[in-house]
Amino acid sequence: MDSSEEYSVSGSVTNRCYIACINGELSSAQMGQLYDEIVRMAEKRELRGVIMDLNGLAVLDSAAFCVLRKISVALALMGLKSAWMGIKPAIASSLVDFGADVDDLCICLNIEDGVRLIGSEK
Amino acid sequence: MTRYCKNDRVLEASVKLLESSTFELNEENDQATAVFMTREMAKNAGFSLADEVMVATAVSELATNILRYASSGSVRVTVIQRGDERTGIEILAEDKGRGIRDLKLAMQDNYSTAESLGLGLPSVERIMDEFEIESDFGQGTRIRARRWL
Repeated sequence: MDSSEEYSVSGSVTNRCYIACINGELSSAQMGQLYDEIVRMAEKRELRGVIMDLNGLAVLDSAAFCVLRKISVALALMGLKSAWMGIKPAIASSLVDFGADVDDLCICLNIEDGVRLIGSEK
Repeated sequence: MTRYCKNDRVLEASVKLLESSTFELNEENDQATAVFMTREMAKNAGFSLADEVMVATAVSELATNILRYASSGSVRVTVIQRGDERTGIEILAEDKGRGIRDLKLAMQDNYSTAESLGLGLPSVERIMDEFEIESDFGQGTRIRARRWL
């Protein structure tokens, strides 16, 4: 079986932004884990914000979308900004078909853009 | 038993089954396997990348529902062909969970009995060209959905 089945998150910090690269296919348990991981990391590191790099995601169903949104809301309540990056065209189409509400999400083109967006408002 | 069909159209019975894989869903990893294998099957059947992801997303939604509400079940993915030789993918998701009491309500956007957006089933209906759901309350749920090339 291909490694794309496996879920992983790796991250690095630049300009007080945590860049979380999320890869593979997220299951419900892993989504809960991802939530804990990112929120805990945000608390520990005195961050300004988190960039969630979704380029490595195989698919994004409504349950996974819901968790990513929850992460953004939790971060906002902690006083941190979040930006989503790297949504592939095919995943964007499926989100449109869901009718997923993306209005209040901050979407960035690349890391530089994300760091600028997060840095500019705080 | 209650039934709901997209656009009130029952799925055509006379399709040729070309290739089929059944995925038993008992734990989280089974869902990832089903999604990955569905993408492969859709790609090999000639679907574009966007359609391949759509079909895999539908499988992911249905697998999430099964694991969340019924604990276990199965998803069968089949490459099918119609009389006019048009190829498609059929997804059959079955579980023996408690079933859905009101299908019409369950098919409404933002309806959810668990903690979610309630977009799951309506989004599968939107993504797929044909969609049919049958449920016996207390007995289980059976969903068939097709997307054509």
